[in-house]
Order: sequence, then C-alpha cells, then structure tokens
Amino acid sequence: MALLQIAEPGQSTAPHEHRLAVGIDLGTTHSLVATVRSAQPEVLRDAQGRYLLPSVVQYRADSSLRVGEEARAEAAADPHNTIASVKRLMGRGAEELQGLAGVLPYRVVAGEGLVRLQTAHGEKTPVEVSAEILRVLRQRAEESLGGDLTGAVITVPAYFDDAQRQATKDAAHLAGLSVLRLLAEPTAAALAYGLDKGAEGLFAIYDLGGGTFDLSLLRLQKGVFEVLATAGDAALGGDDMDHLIAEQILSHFAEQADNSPAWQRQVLLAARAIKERLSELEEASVELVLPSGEAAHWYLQRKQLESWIEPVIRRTFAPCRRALRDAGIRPEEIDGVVLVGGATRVPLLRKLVAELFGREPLADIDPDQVVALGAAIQADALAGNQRDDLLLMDVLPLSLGLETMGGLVEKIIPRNTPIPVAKAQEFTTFKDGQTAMSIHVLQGERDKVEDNRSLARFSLRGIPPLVAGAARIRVTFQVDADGLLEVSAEEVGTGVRAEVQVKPSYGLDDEAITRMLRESMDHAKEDVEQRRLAEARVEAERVREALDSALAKDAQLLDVAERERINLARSALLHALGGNSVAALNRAAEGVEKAAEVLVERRMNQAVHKAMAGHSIEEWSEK
Amino acid sequence: MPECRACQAELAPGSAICTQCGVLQPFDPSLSLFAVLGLEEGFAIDPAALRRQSLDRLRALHPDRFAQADAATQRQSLEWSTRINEAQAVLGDPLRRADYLFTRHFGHSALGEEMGSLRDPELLMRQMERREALEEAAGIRDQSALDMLRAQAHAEERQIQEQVAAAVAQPRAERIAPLLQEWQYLRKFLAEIDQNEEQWDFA
Repeated sequence: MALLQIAEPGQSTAPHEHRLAVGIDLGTTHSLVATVRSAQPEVLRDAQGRYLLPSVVQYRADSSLRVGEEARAEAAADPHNTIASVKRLMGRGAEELQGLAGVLPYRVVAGEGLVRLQTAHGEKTPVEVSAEILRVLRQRAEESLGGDLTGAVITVPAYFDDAQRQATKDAAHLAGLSVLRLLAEPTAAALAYGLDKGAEGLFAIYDLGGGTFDLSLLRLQKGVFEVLATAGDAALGGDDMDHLIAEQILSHFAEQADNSPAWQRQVLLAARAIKERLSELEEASVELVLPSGEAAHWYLQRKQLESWIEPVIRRTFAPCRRALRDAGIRPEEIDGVVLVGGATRVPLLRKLVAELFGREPLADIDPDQVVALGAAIQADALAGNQRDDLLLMDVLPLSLGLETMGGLVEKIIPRNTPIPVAKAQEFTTFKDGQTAMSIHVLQGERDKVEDNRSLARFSLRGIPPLVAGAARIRVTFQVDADGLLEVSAEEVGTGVRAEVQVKPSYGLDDEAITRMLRESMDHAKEDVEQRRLAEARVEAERVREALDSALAKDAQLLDVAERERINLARSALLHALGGNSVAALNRAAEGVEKAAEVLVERRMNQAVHKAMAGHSIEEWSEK
Repeated sequence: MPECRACQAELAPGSAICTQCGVLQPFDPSLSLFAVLGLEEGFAIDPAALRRQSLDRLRALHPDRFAQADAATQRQSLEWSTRINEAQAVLGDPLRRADYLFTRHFGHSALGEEMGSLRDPELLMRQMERREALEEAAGIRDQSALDMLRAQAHAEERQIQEQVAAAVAQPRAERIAPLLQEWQYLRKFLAEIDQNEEQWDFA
C-alpha cells in the first residue's frame, strides 16, 4: 500500500534479558545518570554527548519548560522563573531560608510547611522542580537503553534528614521512576572505588558537593561496604565558595551596577567560572556585561581566592572529627581518602584534606561521575542482574527523638546506628477514657525541640478507652533501608492497633502527592501528543520524499490529469507539514498515497517488464 | 517443627529461608538474639564469629536482596534485617550483652529505673571524683587530660567485664546487678567526655 518501502522491515530490538536499571546522582549543580553495561558502569550522555545535566529548570512565560544547559543559559535573563540549586530547598520550610534568601533570587511564597516558589507556571515545590530534572534523566536513559526502566537508585547526601530523603523519593515518584533504593552519596562513591579499583580497608569519603558536605567512614571488605559513621553539613558546599567570590565582584562593581537579580545571576556564574579556572591557573579573569551594557572584566589571583575560601574548607573539618570520634578511629588508621564532588578540584582543599588525614587523597575516578557510577552498580545489583556477594550496610545519619515535657527531646535512636533499625517505646494515657494522643518526632543532636528538625506529628487514634494510665501504647519507630521513618502503634493489653496519622512538618502529604501525580499524568498526555505529532511528521516527510524521488524518475508514466491530482495531494501534504495537527498530517499522507496509487502500479509494471525482458514465459513458470 | 509458608516443607527452628524452595519465612519475634544469629547463648562470645554470622545472615536477608519482591516479602526482609542489626548491636557490646542475659534469666533488666540508684557510697565517691576531673579538664580545654580520663575509664570497664565473666557461672542478681550498674555509670561518663569535645567543635 505504501508508496515504496524504503526502510528495512521489522527492525525492532529483541526483548532484553538484562533488566534496565540506572543510578541517578541528583546534584545541587549538576545531575547525571549512569548504568551498568557489559558489567561496566558508565554515564549516559544526551544527543550532544554531554553527561552533566545542569540542575536548572526554567518555567517559561509561554508555558513551556526548559531543563539543563538551555535553562541555565536563561538564568541571568529570567532569574525568577529559572530555578537552580533546588536541592538546597528539598524538605525545608520557608522560614528556614533566611540564610539562603539573599543568595537565591526566587520569589518564595510565604506560609507554613514546605517551601513554594512563585514561577510563571504557578507555585512550584522543590519536589516538583526536582521531578522535572529526574524526568529528563529518565528520558535520556530510556532512549539510550531502548526500553522502560525497571527502577532507579537515587543518591542523597548521607547527611540528608528524613524530610529531605522523603522529598527526594517523592520527586522520583512524580517523575515516574520506581525507586529501588535511596543511596548515600559517599557510600555510592565507595562502591565505585571498591568494585572498580578493588579497594579494601578503612576509607574516608570526603564529599563536597554544590550545596552539601558529607564525610563517611567505611570499612570495605570482600564485597561488604559497611558505613561506620557519617557526619556532615546539609547546608555547606562549593556554592558557598562561589557566593564569597560573588560578593567580592558585587562590591567591586557596586557603583556601576544595581542589585538586580539578572546582574546577581551573571556575577554568580562568573564567580563559579573563575573558581574553576583558578583550579588550573595561578591567575585568571572573567568578562562581565554591566547593566549599562558596557563590558568589564575582573581579575583574581589564586592566592587571594584561597584566603577567601579557606574558612569554608575548614568548616568541613568539625564533621570530619565528629565522624572519626563516632567510629572510634584515629586518622592514621585510615587506608585511603576519596574525594567526591566538583568542589574537591580546588587545590587548596586537596592540600588541607591531605594535612587533616595525613595522606594524599585519591581522585582516580572523576569526582563528578563517581557517585552516579556507584549508584548504577547498586541499581544493577538490586534489579537482580548479578553480584550476590555485594552488601551495603548504611547508618542513620542523625539521631531520632521525641518531644517530651518542657520542650526537650528524648533520643530514641542515636545517630550512626546501622539501618534498618527499629525501636519501640511505651506511652500511657493521662486521662480516663482517652482515645487519642499526639507524638512529635524530631531529628537532630540538640537537647531543645526548637534546635532540631521537626519531622512530623503523629496522632494516634482508636486507643481503647480505659482509666488513666491503664492503656499501654507501644509505638514502634522503624527506619528502613532508605533511612526513612515509619511509625506504628499498638495497645499492649488489648492488641488493638492504633491508627497513625502523619502530618509531615516539611513534606507533602499523600493527598498533595496524588494531586501532583495527576497533573504529571496530564503532562504525560501532552508528552504522548508531542510524540505522536513527531511520528506523524516523520511519516509525512517520508511519504513526500518517496513521492518526489518517484516523480523525478518516472513522471512520464502519468498523464496530465493524473499528475495534477498528485500535485494537489502533494501541496496538501506540504501544508499539513507546516501545521501541528496529527490528524491533518495523517490525512494528507493518506491522500498522497491514494493519488499516487496509479504511479505505484505503473512503476511496478515497468519494473516487472524490465525484469522479464529477454525471458520467455515458460522460463518463469518453471520456477 | 515449623513449616515453610510456601511449600510446607519442615524447617529447623529459626530458619529464615526454606531449604527446599528458597522462600523467605516470616520473622518469628520469639527468637532470642542469639538464635537470630545462630550463636550459642552465653556471656563469652567470639567477636569474629558474631561478625561473620551477622554478615552471612544480612547477605541473605537484607532488603537489597528483595528490592524486586512483593511488599509482604520486603516487609519480612525488613523485620529480619532489623533484628539482625539489633542482635549485632546488643551482643557486640559486652555491657548490653550482659544485661540481655540478665533480663532473660531474672525477668527484668539490671539497669532499669526499678533497680534504684547506686547505694554503694564508695562507688558514688568514685563517680563524683571522675566528674570533678572532667569539669576541670573541660573548663580549660585540656585535651590530654580528657584523653587520660578516657583511658582510665576504659581500663575500669575491662576490670568490670572480667568480674562479670567470672560471676555468670553461678548467676546471682545481687552480685551481677551492681557490677552492671557501675559499668553503666562508666559509659555515661565516657559519653560526657565525647560531648565536651563535641561542644568544642561546634563552638
């Protein structure tokens, strides 16, 4: 029926035995996706060959969306709608942004609970912004692996608390990813070193990302990766160095420039660029365009830079000492220090870390890639492809506690306890016939409630009515292998299970997640529409090309009326190609095929004649 | 004999995985921490065997092994792994191991509130002296003094551990409980040393 079949028939790929699973490093500045192919982990690239996806999402005024490099390019021009470093906002409340407010040019919606940003597409939560980044990575993976993903391992800073982990998992859920595991970034890096470089012994993983710092101590032994202790700062990273440099640039040009978000963005990008250049060079300068349109440049020496950023680097040392103390390890017992994160390229950092641990740090695996590569190895193992000897034993990074009398916190599970872990605690009623009670769960190391992170308030209902003090409610706090908390409760005497209602302090409740999922389904519908349009367009193009090449060769086979009919159908097709209607494209392509039937038939006959020329009918029929 | 939940094969008590069909069994909360790890019950324990048994069990039962399984199986894996981690923590710490054995033997912990506070005046005196030394060292941020206090406390712990090991042959609550209580005090003291150092880091 088709004009002329050009493509090879039935070239679909055979069903794959290997389950497709990926590791995703959802970073503050960049994100990337990796997978294991032929037993080797490798990062996946986009059509332009880039593997780092800038973690930037632009909600454009024309209701379209840009993610990655294209969004970052717009950051200076459209600062309110271009969201960068969203990881710093994950699982956080609006009132916690004081320290970041001067730095981030977004319009934060005032209110309780988690942060919301005002964009051209309405209010967006950090979870939704992150989901857009994950969606692009998922698409990249499915395109380059040629199939649907079984699941993904997504990395989080080891020091992320429950709210931040839950937010990450919610984002993956929104992006349509099945999360096999949330994996601590330093653990992922250790996995890459342990399996790729065959490292064994005690290792310190020093991970300074764009916005987070983690130090993890691990014991690596025959496929067992045991986290002994982890410590860090979830609001300290390479970005802080950039901001220090940016402040210097801003004050240098204070008289020539206002403090517009666009100018701030430009300065921030320049600051990062000069920091990166000074990792290689002793001195460097950057070009800037002043708000007046005038070109300017700014010069900096490495020595000067180092004096500004040294305090940031030194701030990482207290968590290092804390982790060593928690694990009961002296620095000289460590067999290797692994550097992770782009910010660890800074030469001064390498020097100071070497001094702290008394040995040169390792950076054989690209510090930008190592986390994603380790996550890919874990994803491959979890998808059931191989590696039965691999065992990861991680810990709870921050203590879990309950609010008690006088606004104090009673710790129930201390930090650095191996997970999964559970702890049961008994409570009693203080009024006759009391059937409900409320529990406030906190995470952190401090004594007072207000100095710790509020995770959630759990209300227990359905307690059997008894005299005061007679009901014994056993509440179990279970932390799973993702480091996520779950609470269940039971009245010990009667065995009645109390109903637990969770009100996350800085998270999304189930209802909000359901609503967002529905919205993203609508999004997915749009995506399907887009794909159908693209496919219809490709098909229409193919028909046009086939027709043109047939006409070029054999137009003489047609009479004037036939040629006129084909030309009419052809212009209808060209018109449809200029539009956006799937139906019009399909109709026009069919119209061309129908009008050209006569041409196809004559060409076929002509071909048969040519083939039979010089042969007798008898010869053919014998075949 | 318990039966496999899937193929009804007979299983040894405490089995996590059916030897016939390989299906993960529901966790049995009545198993002792020793039984969870397949160790013989007693105060004397080989740390290498404890680690080996824990790792072997976790390798087979960790939630990572069941990432693709149904929710019920994942739940069982979570419960098994949680209990293995608990066994590792409790049995791996001689004080907690001793108190776990005490609880199994006498029906209550030696360290709970119902046991009352220390009555031995000599012990109380030692505890007060340690406290004063710590306050003095912390006040002037004397790291080497802190290190010495820590080493002393560790040495005292080892002594108590030997006394407990000798006492468990004929367990008497009134002999063992005070030992465990003093041990607990030493632990608190060591934690205070850590807290003091940590405050320096945060300051």
